[in-house]
Amino acid sequence: MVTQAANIVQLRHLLAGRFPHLRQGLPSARPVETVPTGVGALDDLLAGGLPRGECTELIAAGAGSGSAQVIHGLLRRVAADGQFLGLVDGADSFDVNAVEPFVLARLLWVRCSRVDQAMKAADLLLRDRNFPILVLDLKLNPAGQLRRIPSSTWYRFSRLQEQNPCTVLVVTPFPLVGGAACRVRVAAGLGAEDTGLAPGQLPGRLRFHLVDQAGAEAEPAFRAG
Amino acid sequence: MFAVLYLPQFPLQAALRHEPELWTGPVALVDPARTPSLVCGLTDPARQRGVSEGLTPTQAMARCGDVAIRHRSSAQEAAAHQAILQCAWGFSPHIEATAPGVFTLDLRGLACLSGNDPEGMVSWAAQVRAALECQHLRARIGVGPTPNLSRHAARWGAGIEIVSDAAAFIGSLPVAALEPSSDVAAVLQNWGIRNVGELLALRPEEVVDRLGLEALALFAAASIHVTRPLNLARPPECFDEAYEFEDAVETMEPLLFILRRFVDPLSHRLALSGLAAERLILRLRLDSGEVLERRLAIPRPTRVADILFRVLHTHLETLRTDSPVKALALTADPCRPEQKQLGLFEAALRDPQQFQETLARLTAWLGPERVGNPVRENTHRPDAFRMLPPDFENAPESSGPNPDSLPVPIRRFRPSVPAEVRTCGEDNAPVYLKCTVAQGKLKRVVGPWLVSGDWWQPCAWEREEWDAVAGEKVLRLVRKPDGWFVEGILD
Repeated sequence: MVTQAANIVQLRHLLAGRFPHLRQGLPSARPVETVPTGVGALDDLLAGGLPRGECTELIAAGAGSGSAQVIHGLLRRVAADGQFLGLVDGADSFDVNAVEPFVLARLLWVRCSRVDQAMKAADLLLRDRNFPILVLDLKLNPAGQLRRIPSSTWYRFSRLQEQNPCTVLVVTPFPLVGGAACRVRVAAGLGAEDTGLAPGQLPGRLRFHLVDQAGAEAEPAFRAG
Repeated sequence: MFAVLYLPQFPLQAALRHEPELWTGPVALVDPARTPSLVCGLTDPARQRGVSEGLTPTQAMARCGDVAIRHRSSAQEAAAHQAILQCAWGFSPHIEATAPGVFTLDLRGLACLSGNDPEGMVSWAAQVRAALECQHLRARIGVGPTPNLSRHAARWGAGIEIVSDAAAFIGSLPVAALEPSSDVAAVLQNWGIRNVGELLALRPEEVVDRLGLEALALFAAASIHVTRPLNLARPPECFDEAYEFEDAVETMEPLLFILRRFVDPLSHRLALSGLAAERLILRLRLDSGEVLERRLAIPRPTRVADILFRVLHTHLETLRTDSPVKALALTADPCRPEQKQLGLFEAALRDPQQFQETLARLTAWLGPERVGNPVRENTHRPDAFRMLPPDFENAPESSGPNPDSLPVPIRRFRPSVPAEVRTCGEDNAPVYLKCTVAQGKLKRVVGPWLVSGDWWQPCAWEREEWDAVAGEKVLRLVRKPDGWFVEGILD
């Protein structure tokens, strides 16, 4: 029995080392680096920002959820840090008017009209290895198209991220990304009165809820012994 | 010292430049400019199988059933001529295009050949041969104290011939090296003159009395002291390759095969010239006679063969033609390569060439208006922008309008969604909306904001903007002269 327990522990450590993004019920061996999003509430919830080199899913269900505010906030923060960002826009919905020119200069915008175009563009940019941050915006794409994304696609993306530590933020209308290191739900209930607010005031209206996070201490699935 | 590059069977070498594998088989070169077309060049296997110059193609095929017929092409010979000049330019600045397939180089002042060291000259000549072999051309090289001797050395030497003892060398050459007419050659043969040394042993004035003025030309050709100024040529800064298929091709693979054969020598020639390619111009001549021309801009000039080839490959993946392709030509527009030193703390692309390749693939697949860096137009018209290739290294520092002065970000619908709107009241406020995004009574509307611009131009515009709540959605409604539209949704 002691030998079996030792083998199980050894196996769990081996799996944790090979697939660090999967939940193993084991505490993280090293502190996770983060990429600040520029949205205070989200950075506080994620202990600093998006996990660097990992995929984070932002679930923005319903209208007025505030996902566009998150994308714009992230873009401003990335530009302020002197970095650049790739935005794969699944429904060509990015609002150019609401961004300063110096921020736009640090954006590669890929305007897609279908989910398959967006996934292929994201695949190309992940293989490019030049972008530290990539946003895949699928909020406005039809649910039927999104459900037809093979689950192996997300697995392939995570394999690409292992070779190239690119921080990916996927914005979806419902839980979709298999193997995401972190899932956050955003809600804001934005109304007509919010259109008169200054853009800097809107992020304060956003409410975030952590749905799932890999590496978080949790009850192990089974115990040794 | 002078060096001569001699390319035997230059028209045949030019024709087979992009099919070097054919040299091992029987190939006959036919000149289509002559009537009837006759064989004017052939490979050694064809000669061994009984094919010879002067036969018609039918006669050649009767003697050798599997002989491949190729047509002489002035475009391919011109491209080969350019390639040789550009290669030679990398080894000496003084070049003369003496004759088709014959190039003379003046080696005066070359530091690598100072001291007339024979081993150094052999090494130098080997480098020149290797550079020409990168262009799929085979040359014999002769090095001597005069252009004349060097030319003889190149024509009658094994591969690389260095003339150290000019008198002994010229004396050992056969009389045919001086290219006498058939009559004079017959007379010399009757006299028992077998080599140039025996001819030079005769008294020139007595030979001239018997053979005429042609004898003077023979003695001049055999001279080891007379040198002449070179008619210098400068290699053109054009990098072209051309190829014509024997049969029109319908698939992409043969095109890619030949384009790869183009790109490698072009890249090598650009490197020898210290240049890079900023644009590729691909011309396809279809079987129907139509010529398709495509100009492919390379965002960051390069001479790396793989990148140039992938730009062509990406373009061909999306190309469709009505007829098969009969011939293709590729031109690389040269420019000085970029030299830029980045700052120590600037965020830079990790692999700029890889990024340009990714950008080229995305652009070829989605279109140039779908990939790039958005730049707002100088107008107040909402959502007015154009897409430019990204230039992250020259991105401006943080500056510009106060972010709080910008509008609240919305998610835009492109194109705008047409809507049926019912209005009421003095200000014609919308009260009911019907469109694909939402339908029903509007709970609340805010507005209007009247915006117009460019009134002094034909493209004058005017809009009436409203923010309307339909269900849980906050929509941006716009009334234009041609109707109501939903332009975006607050998210």
